[in-house]
Amino acid sequence: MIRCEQLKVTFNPGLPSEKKALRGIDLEIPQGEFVTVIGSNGAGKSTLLNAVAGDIPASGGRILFGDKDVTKTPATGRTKEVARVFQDPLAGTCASMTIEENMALAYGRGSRGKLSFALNDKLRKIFREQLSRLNLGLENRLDAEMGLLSGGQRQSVSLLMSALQPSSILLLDEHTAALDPKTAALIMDISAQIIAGKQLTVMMVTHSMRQALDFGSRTLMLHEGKIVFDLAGEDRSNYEISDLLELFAKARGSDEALDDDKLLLGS
Amino acid sequence: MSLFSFLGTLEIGLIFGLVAMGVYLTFRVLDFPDLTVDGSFTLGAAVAATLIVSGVNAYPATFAGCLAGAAAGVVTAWLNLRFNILHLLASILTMTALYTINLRVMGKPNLALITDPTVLTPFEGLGLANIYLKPIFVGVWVIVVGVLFALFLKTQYGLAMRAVGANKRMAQANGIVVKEKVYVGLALSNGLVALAGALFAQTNGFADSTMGIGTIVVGLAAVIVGETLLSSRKMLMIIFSCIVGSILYRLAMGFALNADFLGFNASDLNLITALLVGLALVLPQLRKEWKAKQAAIKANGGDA
Amino acid sequence: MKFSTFAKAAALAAGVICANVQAEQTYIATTAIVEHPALDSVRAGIKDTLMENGYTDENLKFTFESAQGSPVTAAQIARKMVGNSPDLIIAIATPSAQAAVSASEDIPVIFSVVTDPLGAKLVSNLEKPGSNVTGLSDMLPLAQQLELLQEIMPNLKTLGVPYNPGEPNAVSSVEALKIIAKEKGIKIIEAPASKTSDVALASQKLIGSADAIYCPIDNTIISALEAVVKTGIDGQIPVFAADTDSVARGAIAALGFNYYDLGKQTGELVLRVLNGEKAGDIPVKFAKGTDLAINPKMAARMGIEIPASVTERATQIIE
Repeated sequence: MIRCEQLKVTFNPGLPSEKKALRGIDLEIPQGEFVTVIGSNGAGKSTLLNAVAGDIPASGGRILFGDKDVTKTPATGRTKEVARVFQDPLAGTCASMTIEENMALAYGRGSRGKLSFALNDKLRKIFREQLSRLNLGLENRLDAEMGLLSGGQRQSVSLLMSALQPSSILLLDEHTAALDPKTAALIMDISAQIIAGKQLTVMMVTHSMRQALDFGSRTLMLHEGKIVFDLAGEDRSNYEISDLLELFAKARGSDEALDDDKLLLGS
Repeated sequence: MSLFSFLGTLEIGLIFGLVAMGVYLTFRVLDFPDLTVDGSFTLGAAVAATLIVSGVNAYPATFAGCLAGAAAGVVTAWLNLRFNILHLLASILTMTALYTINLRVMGKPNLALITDPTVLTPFEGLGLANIYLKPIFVGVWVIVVGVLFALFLKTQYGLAMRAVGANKRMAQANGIVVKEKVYVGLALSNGLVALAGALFAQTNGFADSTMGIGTIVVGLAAVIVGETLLSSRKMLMIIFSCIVGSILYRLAMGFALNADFLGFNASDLNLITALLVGLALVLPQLRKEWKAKQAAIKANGGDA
Repeated sequence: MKFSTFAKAAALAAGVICANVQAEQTYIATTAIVEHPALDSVRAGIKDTLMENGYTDENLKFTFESAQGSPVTAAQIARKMVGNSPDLIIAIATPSAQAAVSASEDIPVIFSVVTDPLGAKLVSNLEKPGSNVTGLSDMLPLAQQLELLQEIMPNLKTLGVPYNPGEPNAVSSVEALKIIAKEKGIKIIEAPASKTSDVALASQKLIGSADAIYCPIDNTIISALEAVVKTGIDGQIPVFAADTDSVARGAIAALGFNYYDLGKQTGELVLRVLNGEKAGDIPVKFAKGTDLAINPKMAARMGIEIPASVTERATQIIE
């Protein structure tokens, strides 16, 4: 489970370009809960995910995984618990390496097997099994270069990679944003499958209000580095997108017009 | 080109195959342009030669040369990782410092090894003439090292190193400690180059403070020629192509040396070598274009 | 793809082999570490000696390769030379000589312009080298040269010496120079320059701290001599050299070798071997230099006058 206590992240402290990206986030996500995170651009959604992953150091406050305080642990130290899928399909994979090599890398996450061979037939069998779930024919193209695959295919493999090693937390950072609607739907399907199968604690950032309500059991909205509301259970299941928009405007102060097209169009 | 000349060229080409491997590791695998090699090549030779001349057995002396080269690589990595100095500049700093360090190590600018025991000595006098012994001996070393190197790159550790060069962020997200890989990679690379230097000094009879100048150019040329002519995804083939690229480069230079019958002067050597290597790189491209043209003609002819 | 490369290589090789098949000729292969006036003069001297002794373009094949300053290239050249089975190899300068000696088993090697043949392990004994190597050492008559400087500049106290710490010849000369200079009460200021583009800056640093500049036999300094001369004129510091060719290029005076003459002395060694003597039986020759070259105009431009005692003895006066 994830707990944030007064988590603060400030970029360029003390300089003219100082930006307070997170202004004190208090958050507790029990093990196995699937949380969607929404908010306008610059609200701090990605920063929150990056802070949980350890890519960005916290400027104040604490982050805990269960009882363990990981505030000072660097990203590489948190990989036993945390798996990520990035928005950019290229960012989550090595384009110049093959599918099997990428998967072998992900397979080694959390345990660096040092000088044993990274690939063998046993592993290839496991990878093929996983890939066949995607129904994309990739199980026959293990030695294809990652860079030759389409965005959707890459993202699918990234998803599988995130699940190759047990983790307790899965961070999805707008991972369908760069894909066409059909592929996006496929990816979400697979995501849901994987999450259900493994009882993961999930934080998913999305720009799509539809996704935010259809998936998971809890929705957070961030605005200017703070959580402005937190929907769960009965309240949430009765919410429509229009309700969400109203709530959004209310929280931000009605003088701020909603100018975020993506939020409106994300249905 | 006579047999002896060819064998001599082959031998030097094989030794520089180690340089090509080292350059491949930094430039291609780690994406870290590393000019330290101009200094670490000489450092390997200097350390090995100095130890041999003072009576140390050639084998530990050569190993010491490798370690010295590895240390130089670590320094470059440290400058880059600790102080955020651009990798290219960090390596230039180390290379420049090494010029003086090499002079200090040898005590003078040139150290002769002609009469001293070398790594070859245990095998001399066994019946095989030197002109065959040297290239075979060097060939065996280089191939063994090459195979070990290729196998290393196929391990989890080696794969992690490749990921660091391919996509640092993704590597970190998969638990790979980037800094450690860079240190080890640069140490390994410069260790290989230093080994080449130590071998060269022992097979050619001297260590000279200027012998390393231009090593990076030779290494890069070898890697690129190898890649262009023998492109492959298999690790063993890639390492093999580094060695082949190096040999071809030396052969090109060997032909340039023999080119006086074409009316060239001694000082035209570099130009001729460049032309020959350039030709090697251009030919596959031209071939590709020609093939594409043929395919297009066929397609149009078929439609008509 | 691979095949066409090898086919190309084979064709070229065939051409080379054809070109090399010639009639009865004496075949001498020469090489130098780099090309510059002094080393080129040596080669010219060797060739002329041969020409004067019955060798012509008809019965002599005389090839030359330059290693372009790279010891690795010198090694490759050495292999190539030995592979072509010449009757004799001539190697000019230390790294080229070392590579040739290392590569050659039976072919006689004559070295030239190597200051310390023992230190370079080209021979194990100066009197009777033993194996198939002998040659000419250009160890400088340093004491005489310093005396000449003191004769021209009696108040000489500090002497600036630009040199390349990476050149074995130069380093041994400077070391020996420091010892002899100390005995004569002259302080040596070293100005290291590891490549020709550094020479100007290195010599400029001597302005104000040295009474005069002395350029040893150093391929790097000699290649960039004009830069040192310019410093001498601008800073009004007299520039002296250790080889007479440099006096024509702007140094005030030099007592030393005429490199063409060294070439002729080397040529004599070559002739002896060609006529049947075993190279290993011929003692290493130490170059004789009694040329005194002076450049009075340049002296005036650098602010001094050459005394009559020197002018009288000069064997060469540059106009």
